[in-house]
Amino acid sequence: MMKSDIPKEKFEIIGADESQQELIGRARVSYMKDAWRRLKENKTAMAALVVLCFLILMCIIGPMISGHSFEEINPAHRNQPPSSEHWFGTDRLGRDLFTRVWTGGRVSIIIGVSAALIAAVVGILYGGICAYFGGMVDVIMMRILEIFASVPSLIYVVIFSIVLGNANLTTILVALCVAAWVGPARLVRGQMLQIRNQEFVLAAQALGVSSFKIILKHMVPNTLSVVIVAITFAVPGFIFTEAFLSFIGLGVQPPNTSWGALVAMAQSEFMFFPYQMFFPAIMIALTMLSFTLFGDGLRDALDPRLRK
Amino acid sequence: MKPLVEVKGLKKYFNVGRNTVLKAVDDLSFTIYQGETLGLVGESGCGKTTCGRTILKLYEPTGGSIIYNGKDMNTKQPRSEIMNFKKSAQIIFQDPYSALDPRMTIEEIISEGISVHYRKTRSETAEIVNELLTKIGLTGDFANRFPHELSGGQRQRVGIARALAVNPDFIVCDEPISALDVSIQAQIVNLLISLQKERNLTYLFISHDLSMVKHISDRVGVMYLGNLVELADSETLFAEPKHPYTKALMSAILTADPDFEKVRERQKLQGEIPSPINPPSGCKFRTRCPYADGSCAQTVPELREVSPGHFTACVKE
Ligand SMILES: Nc1ncnc2c1ncn2[C@@H]1O[C@H](COP(=O)(O)OP(=O)(O)O)[C@@H](O)[C@H]1O
Ligand SMILES: [Mg+2]
Repeated sequence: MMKSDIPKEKFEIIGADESQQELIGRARVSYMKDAWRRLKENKTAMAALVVLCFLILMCIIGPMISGHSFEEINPAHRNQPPSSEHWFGTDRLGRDLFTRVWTGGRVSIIIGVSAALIAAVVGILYGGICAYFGGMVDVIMMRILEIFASVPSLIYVVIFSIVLGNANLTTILVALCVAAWVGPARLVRGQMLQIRNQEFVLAAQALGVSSFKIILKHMVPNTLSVVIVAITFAVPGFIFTEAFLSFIGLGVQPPNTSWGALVAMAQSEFMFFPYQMFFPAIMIALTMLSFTLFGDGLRDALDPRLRK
Repeated sequence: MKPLVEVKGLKKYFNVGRNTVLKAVDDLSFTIYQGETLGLVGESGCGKTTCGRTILKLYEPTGGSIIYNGKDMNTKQPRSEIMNFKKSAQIIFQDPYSALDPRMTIEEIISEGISVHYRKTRSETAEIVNELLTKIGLTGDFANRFPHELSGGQRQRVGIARALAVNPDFIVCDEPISALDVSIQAQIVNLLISLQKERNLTYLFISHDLSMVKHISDRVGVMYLGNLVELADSETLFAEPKHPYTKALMSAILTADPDFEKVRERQKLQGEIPSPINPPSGCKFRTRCPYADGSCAQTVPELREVSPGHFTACVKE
């Protein structure tokens, strides 16, 4: 007897249980709503989000509520410890550190977020073009990318900072982004190529769905979630690089400041006035940690395979 | 019977590397009649998937014609004709995991084609999806789930529902059961058979499982390296295979009859399937054929009718 000789009746579909059909299923939710719901359930990610919001809020209003200007030099109040007058103390020129920490935070966070966004946009375009056109275009563009990727990014940053001279927000951003798009570009290209060969894209083509809609409904959502997570993870890296640049004197120039510049300034006084370093350092650490934890939660939330 | 799909001299070559072409499907011709199931068997890599996808124009054919309902789809057709073809000819995939977009709900997946071909309101669409889900043996409850919450068999059913949603006449079933547990396979096959009866569907059923193909198909074509080597109705092909390759495939089937197993002559396939990049001259099967001689390297055997409805491509026959 062959497999095909098994009586057919044995395999009839018994159909769905009628009584269960009225059962009200889970409420209808779109993909993004479902992701948001999962994110809200993640306590760590939400705590990180709250911390981030607080830090950003303080960067906006902090310099206004202290009653001091970040450039205001007061020789009478040099190197003061935290007090009711100066909440985070003062530096060696007598400037109010509370104001300076939040003013510096503006620079650090703006640089971190914009650099990550710029790198992601350039990366999406570059990687998307590679994946879309394929063939020679892809080969040539990937070779160019590899040339960029073969030099450690810190070297670009340092060289560009020196070449562009008097550092301000724009020059630092340019320096940071010269090589930073390489990672997102590779990521997007890989993801696009992988999705393009998946059978659900073929199924959509067989159904007559237009190319535009296939890109919009299948390619973009499946790529975007990966990119969003990558952006979140990239921000702390840029904040740290900016801090490093400022620390070695290639970042923002006085009287403007950033967290990195504040740490650099505090370094010489560290033996006697450690609180000067404590506040900017803890802000860098908190921001980086929060972005990383939030990115973690975001990645889990955007992956429906983890849906419970 | 009326022909629904006539494939004539179909070719699909892939460019692999500099100046190398891989002839996945080479000069393939056959006809699928309305309401029948044509089985397509052959070893993995012989071009079955490529054949199925090229017929649906998911791959641009390198040459030949695909006459669907009397119209050659491999020539320039007006948009309305192309959309009709897309509505009428559907596909079910082998891998139920990559066949469904992980970021869409089952309802979004099934209704994807409805929105292309029909004007329906949201609630009408939801109603159709609900009906389809019940039809294929799931419940309306599944509409809001995501693919990863479903088992392989359930996903395959969703893939079937997606194809059915546009009311097709012709479905290419590309190994729809080979990725499933044996216990699920028969369920899916029986679902396909009952849907065919109910909706008068025409199937191109691709598989490497001969016994399953015999079970479901009216006629069976045997493929080797991008060509058909034999085509006959299912009974005839299994009772009296003509081509040495078909015979070898048959003898690889295990039967549940120990007495028969003892006496029957086994014909093992020697060696590996040659690369389609550099296939043997003449008859492509000659390198593994026990009956091959010098003449086989000279001429490419044509598919000839050896008895009514029974075609084979072997010069020895
Ligand atoms: N997109 C592709 N690009 C290049 N070669 C391919 C592509 N798709 C299939 N092939 C090749 O074509 C041949 C036939 O493949 P396929 O149609 O998948 O065979 P089957 O479905 O019978 O296993 C194989 O040698 C395979 O490597
Ligand atoms: Mg295949």
